[in-house]
Amino acid sequence: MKVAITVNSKEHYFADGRKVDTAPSQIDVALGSTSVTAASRDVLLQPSEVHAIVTQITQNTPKDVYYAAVSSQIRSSVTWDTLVMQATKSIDEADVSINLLSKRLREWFEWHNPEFSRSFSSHEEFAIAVIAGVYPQTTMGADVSEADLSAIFALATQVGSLSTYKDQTREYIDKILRVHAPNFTEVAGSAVGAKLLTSAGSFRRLAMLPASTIQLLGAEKALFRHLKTGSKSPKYGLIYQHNFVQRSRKKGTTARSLANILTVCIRKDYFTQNPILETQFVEGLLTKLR
Amino acid sequence: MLNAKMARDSYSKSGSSRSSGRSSSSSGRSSSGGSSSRSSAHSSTRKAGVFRPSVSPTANFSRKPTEFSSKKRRDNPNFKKNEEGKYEFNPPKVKENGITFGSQKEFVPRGKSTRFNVEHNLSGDNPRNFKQTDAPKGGSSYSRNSSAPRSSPSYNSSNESSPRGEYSRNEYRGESRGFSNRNSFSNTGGSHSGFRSSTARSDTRSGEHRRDGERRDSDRRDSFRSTLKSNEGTSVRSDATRSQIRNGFRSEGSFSQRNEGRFEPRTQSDLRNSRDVPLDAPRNSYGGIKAREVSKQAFKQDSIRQDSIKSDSFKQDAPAKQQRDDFVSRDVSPRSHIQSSSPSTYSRDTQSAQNYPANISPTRLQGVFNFRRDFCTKALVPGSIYGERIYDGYRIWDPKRSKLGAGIAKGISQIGIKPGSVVLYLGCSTGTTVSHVSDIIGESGKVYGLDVAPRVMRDFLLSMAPRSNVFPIMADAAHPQDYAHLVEEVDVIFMDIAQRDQVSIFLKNCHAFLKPGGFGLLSLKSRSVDISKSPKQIFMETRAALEEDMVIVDYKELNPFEIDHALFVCKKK
Repeated sequence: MKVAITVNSKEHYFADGRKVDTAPSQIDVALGSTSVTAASRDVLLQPSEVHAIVTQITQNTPKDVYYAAVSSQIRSSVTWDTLVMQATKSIDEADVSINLLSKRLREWFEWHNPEFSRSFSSHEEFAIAVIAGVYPQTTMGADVSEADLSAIFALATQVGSLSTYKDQTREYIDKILRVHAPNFTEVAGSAVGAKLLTSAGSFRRLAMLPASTIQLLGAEKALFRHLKTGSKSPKYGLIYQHNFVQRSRKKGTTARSLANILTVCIRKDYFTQNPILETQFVEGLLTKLR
Repeated sequence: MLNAKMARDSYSKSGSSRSSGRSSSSSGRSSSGGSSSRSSAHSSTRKAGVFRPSVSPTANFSRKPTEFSSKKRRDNPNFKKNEEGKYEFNPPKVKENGITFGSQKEFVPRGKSTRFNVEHNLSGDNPRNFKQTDAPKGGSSYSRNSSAPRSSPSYNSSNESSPRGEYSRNEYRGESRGFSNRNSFSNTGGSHSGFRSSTARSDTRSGEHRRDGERRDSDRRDSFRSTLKSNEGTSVRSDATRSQIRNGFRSEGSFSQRNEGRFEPRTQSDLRNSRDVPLDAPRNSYGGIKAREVSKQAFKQDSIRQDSIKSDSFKQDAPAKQQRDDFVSRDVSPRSHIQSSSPSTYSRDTQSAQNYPANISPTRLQGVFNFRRDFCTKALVPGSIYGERIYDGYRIWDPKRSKLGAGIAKGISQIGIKPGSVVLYLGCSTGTTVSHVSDIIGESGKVYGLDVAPRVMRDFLLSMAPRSNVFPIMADAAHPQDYAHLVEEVDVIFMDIAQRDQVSIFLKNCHAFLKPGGFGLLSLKSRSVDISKSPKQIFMETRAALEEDMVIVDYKELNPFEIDHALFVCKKK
């Protein structure tokens, strides 16, 4: 899609007639089916002539060519990290849905057997137990018909399947992350790693971020409040969910060191052709932290 | 002991004007600076930090707080003694241009007075009045002007140097000129007066030759604004001063052009603010005169004049204009930025006016129409793009979802986009605004919609596919060389990208693609440029940056539709 217009070996012009510093050696304006190629090393074009060429091409270009070009750009913009980010977001949303549906399920089921419902703290375990249908029949709850129970079971099945979906998607994310960013995933873990990736926006962007930014990813609100009003600066963002930070007494310090290590790892993964997990390297980074 | 007394004293003294920022700050100073000299501490407890050594400081300390209430009334020109010896609310009547102000319904700040236009009782025991008659002659602009006779308002530029009845408390003291200016300049952060005063300063800096009277006038205006800011304004203001205050405190400047002292209201906001719109005219939901009414007036004028807009019929609006042209770059001819001045364009619009559906009427902006309280464009392709309402083939333009729409709703004078225009739209997103631009330019125009994000381009492609005049480009606006082969020379560039270096990207694109005399519209999000700076300051800096390459034609802040956004309309030199 790119075009550079070379007037001679020394002078180059953009389509608007401005000089540029670097350019290839020939005029090559190609756009879909329309193309103009002119080896013009020895031909001196005036800026207005250059502009005339481009204007002619653009004016004669049918609209479909623009659409086709942008479509192909969109197509090629989809990479593994685009998809992993969608999966990560879907897990978050599945969590919300499970919580919502489970609360309804408990409310509904407790008219029938409240004691059994109260014996589970986890929503998902409770839903799976309801589907299994094995629960004590001695209860203060009301007797309900088969039809009523099957309606309740249908809801429980939905919660259960969402729970299964969550587990499957976690595995999928872990698998993909370990292929494309093995060292990063080894340190961060797939859950935190995927969240950091989602927050940064893309694998490339995450690799380009400084460690201090990775430390604060997910704490944007606190950060900007700090910048705006001078309130306390945040010490950690999503990285807080990492096991090391959770267990540490000095959480801020740990978050900072961990962000440093993550930065090294993500860059190693991004700038390597086919990254592989280098256990020794990772352990060497983590010794201080441990 | 003394400290506590002073604090109490300052508290009760400033009770009458406790809301004023300067007064409260000065009282804070006086209470904290316990060991400072008594006279300076005392003077700050008096009227807002102004040094008044003529009154004995000890007298105030001996007063009881109860006495102050009566003192306040005695001080206040709005209160007059009746037969029983009590002070009653009876504000002075003021006559200016045959209009009487100062009726009891009029809001009058208490304890304030002007010298020129207040005909109140100078005798009696009012120490402030006594001071006024004692004002030093010569040495301040105020005094020089005061010797000039009060002239009836004329609408040429010579009026600039004649007294307009404004009066700055700081100025009337000999030492106060420098102080007032310094004060207004130091208040740049977030205050309207700071924004405007710096404007005046940059005018001076730009090497524009201005007559001494004008310069003085500008300085005086600054100090006047600073005075107003501290809530020490004059009690009753003349007509001209009123409009000046209004304009000085407007959050956005409106750019009008100066041509030998004749001013033409050409924007909707100008017309909304002009005095020849009746006060009971129907108001739209944004508080302005209904744009339809305005456009009717505008088209009436246009049809009379056809080729050029003359200012004669709008002369009455001139004083308000005069105060507002701080922002004007004077090196463009006054008509040069008005689009489509050809008679044919106007006559076409006026002829087809009766063919519009009910409730639809044209605005001054070609291709943009009024529908009841809203704006709309004639749909090029049937169907709703972003869930907007459609009325008789006209798509309603939601100002809350489109920054260009917000600018129009705020009464921007021109957008440069008209039927047949070639537009480069940077930051097209999903095409909310582009769809309306596409409507305006019609089949004969072109709009190149550019965005860097694939996600929004996906929606953009799908929704814009039926429109034959939209050309999508997926590229980064910061690198014009990436899409230079896809864009021709354009008439208008609109930019709506929230980037830190948005202004430089805008200028780069204008340099690359905009034809000379073409319009550049910049929608600036100040929070993206610098979150720690005040929006006002960023808008001011942006203006300075734009003026190097462009002529700023109009500028509107987009609140309440968008917070901390502004729309700049520029013209390429």
